[in-house]
Amino acid sequence: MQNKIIFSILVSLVVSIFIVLYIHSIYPEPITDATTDNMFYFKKFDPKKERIFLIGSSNIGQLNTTMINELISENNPSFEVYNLAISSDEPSSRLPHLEKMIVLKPKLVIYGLTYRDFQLCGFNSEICDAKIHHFLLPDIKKIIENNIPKEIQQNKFNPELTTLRLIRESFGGSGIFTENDKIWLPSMPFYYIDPNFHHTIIEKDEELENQSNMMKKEGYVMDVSENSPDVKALKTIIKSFKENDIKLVLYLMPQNQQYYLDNISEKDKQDFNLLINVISDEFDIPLYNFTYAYSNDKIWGDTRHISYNINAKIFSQDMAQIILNEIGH
Amino acid sequence: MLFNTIDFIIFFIVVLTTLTAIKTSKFQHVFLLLASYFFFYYTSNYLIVLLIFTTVWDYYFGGMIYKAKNIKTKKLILIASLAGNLGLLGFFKYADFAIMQFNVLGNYFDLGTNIPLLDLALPIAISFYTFHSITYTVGIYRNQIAPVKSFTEYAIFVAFFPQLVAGPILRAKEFLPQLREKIDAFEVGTKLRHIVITEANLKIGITMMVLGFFKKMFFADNIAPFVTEIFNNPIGLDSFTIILGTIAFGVQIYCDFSGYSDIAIGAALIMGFKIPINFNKPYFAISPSDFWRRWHISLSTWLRDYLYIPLGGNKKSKSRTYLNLFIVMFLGGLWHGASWNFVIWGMLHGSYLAIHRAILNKFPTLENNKFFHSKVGKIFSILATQYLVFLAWIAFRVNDTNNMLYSMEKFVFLDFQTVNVIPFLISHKLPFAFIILFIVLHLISYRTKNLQEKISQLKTWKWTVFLTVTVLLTILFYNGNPSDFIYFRF
Repeated sequence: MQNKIIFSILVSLVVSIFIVLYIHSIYPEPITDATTDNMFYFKKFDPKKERIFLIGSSNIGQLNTTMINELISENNPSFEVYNLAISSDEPSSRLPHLEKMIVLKPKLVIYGLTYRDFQLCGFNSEICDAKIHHFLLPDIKKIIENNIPKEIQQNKFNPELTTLRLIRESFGGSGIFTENDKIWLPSMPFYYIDPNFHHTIIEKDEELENQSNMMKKEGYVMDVSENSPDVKALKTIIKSFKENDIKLVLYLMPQNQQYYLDNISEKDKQDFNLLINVISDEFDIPLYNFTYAYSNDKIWGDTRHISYNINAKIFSQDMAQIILNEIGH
Repeated sequence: MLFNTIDFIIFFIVVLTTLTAIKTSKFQHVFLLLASYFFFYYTSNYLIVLLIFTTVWDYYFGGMIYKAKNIKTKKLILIASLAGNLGLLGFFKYADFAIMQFNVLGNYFDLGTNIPLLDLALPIAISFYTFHSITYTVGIYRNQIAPVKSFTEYAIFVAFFPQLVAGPILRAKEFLPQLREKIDAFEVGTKLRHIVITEANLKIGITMMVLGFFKKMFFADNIAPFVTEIFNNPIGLDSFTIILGTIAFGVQIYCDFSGYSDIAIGAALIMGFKIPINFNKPYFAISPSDFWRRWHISLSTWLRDYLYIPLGGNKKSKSRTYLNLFIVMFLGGLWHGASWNFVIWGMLHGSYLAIHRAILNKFPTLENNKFFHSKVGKIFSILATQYLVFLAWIAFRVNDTNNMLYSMEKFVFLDFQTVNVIPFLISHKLPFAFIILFIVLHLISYRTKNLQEKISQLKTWKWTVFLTVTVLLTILFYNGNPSDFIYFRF
């Protein structure tokens, strides 16, 4: 009889997994990093044009690449700028893109960095707590994870995306479940613009204040030590570009004064600046520090991002100017 | 180790298989203890030292209480044992909170107090295993149980993995006898029980676990982002949006916590251990006291037996009864976390219970009033009770004082605006559909007594269909990232 129960469990698991996989084969996951990754790196580029890459996290994603391209082409039409921002990017998560970027031989790479790139854990004190305090004895979970091939770890299957796609397509005609108005630009393959969110400039201080309070309360911990995986990854990236004669520029991302910078401890600021300056000197690479450039301007979409909005065009114009300086115009 | 991860599934299968393979009861028990310690160590690492400390501490103090000749000595030893338990809990969970309050108060009086925080790691499950362990020493002190014969048995009781992290809170007198062949607290000379997986336990255990996973991964995890979006920044939102967020949180926390309890009870049952239920349709409670007979039952009965009754319960004056109710719920709130929002939540419930008791004392005929026994009266009682329960959920969920007060004001004083709620509903149809579906299923389950037992008694093919549908829905709406259970942080 117990065998019957075990058989029932197995049948239900097999049938469920089969159905999920079947649905997944009909409605594959919408665009993900993995697919756009290949689409971008293996596409045919105009051989007459030289490429400039902007890399970094969502802060870089908020740059208006179309405007930057227009400003660059006014001075030199032989360059095209690609914004390769990835949401929540950190040097260690950028590493898998390194070889593919090098193969495309960009003329210039601008790497946007900020405090968040070196955070040990995010804006959640419990996770921080766990990461800081729980590793005094061997971490079995980590040992197991380290023995699982990276390809398997990175290829996380998300059945929910498939299901949502199925629902949207099934109700597509009725307009009940529609896709958000995300804008994917050819010059920005890994980051999309959501007009409902990214276009907004928050005027009301109380909204920013609320977000800022949340950040203050939850806090985060930065690790800029030599052993930090992000510090190691950043050095690897810089070295690889240097070895392949690709010019790299470090750009410190602008931040909001009252709602972001005031929440970062002086020690973290000093440690971060010291790290970047040491790296810039060590590898002899230009450094543009824009941390305080627009810190008090009314161009912020939230506490950490400049809005993707025409009233925030100074952000993109200044970036275009940096590029022009670096390519010699 | 999170229940909703593949890690746990593999761990549980290995534990069951090994338990079945081991022929000797003694080795089965040792293996169960080691498995429980592995389960805890997997996520808590060195903090397992605290669990072992609590176990050793109460094991020896339990024996000392039993051997003490007179009641005065017994009492002194019990106090020493409780001081150790509660001292550890207080230090790790509340030290920084106390320092913070001290600094704030000092600054208020211009004393310039600025004591640095200890920044201690909060040991997972400490609130739960401390309470488990206290039931042992107090049980011996009250002559309800005799000390266990071996350390392993006691250590299994404290660390038993299905309920270790988030309950239900076990009582020594209920659990320890289950480790022996003869279910009698004082028959300590009987043989150790051989752990056998029976067909009936396996079927009902699996049913409970599957329903638990369904509640957590299908409902709670899919409603959670909806709640977060509303309560991370509620200032400026209209009343209906706040009410919607509150209802959504009520559904989320119920599915999250009762889902955990179902998985724990089911996993224990498969191994032949009976853990008492923790939830009994709390959203159909007809009064605040009825709510606490249905919500987190193991905590509310623990608070009743180990706090409310020792404080005098309702045996002293009326005003003392009200005060006792308030104190118990205040401490119950604080037990959830070192944060003012939990204190406020506890105080709200304390006030509800005290006021409810005061009304019944003032108007004793109300309890037998025909209206409250009619269908309409019952519905009225349910809605009135749930209005108060959901108001208190705002305090539980929103820890920023300004946001909490704003949300509560909007919940109580309706503004009849629809500026936010309609666009919000349009852009969040799916989570809203989950809430509606939950309400429908909850209503059905209210009308069906012993649902889990009934499901497990279905014919095999029907049971297989039930499993398939539930597992399929759970997987279809799983986003690949297992999320914590809310009560893990307590």
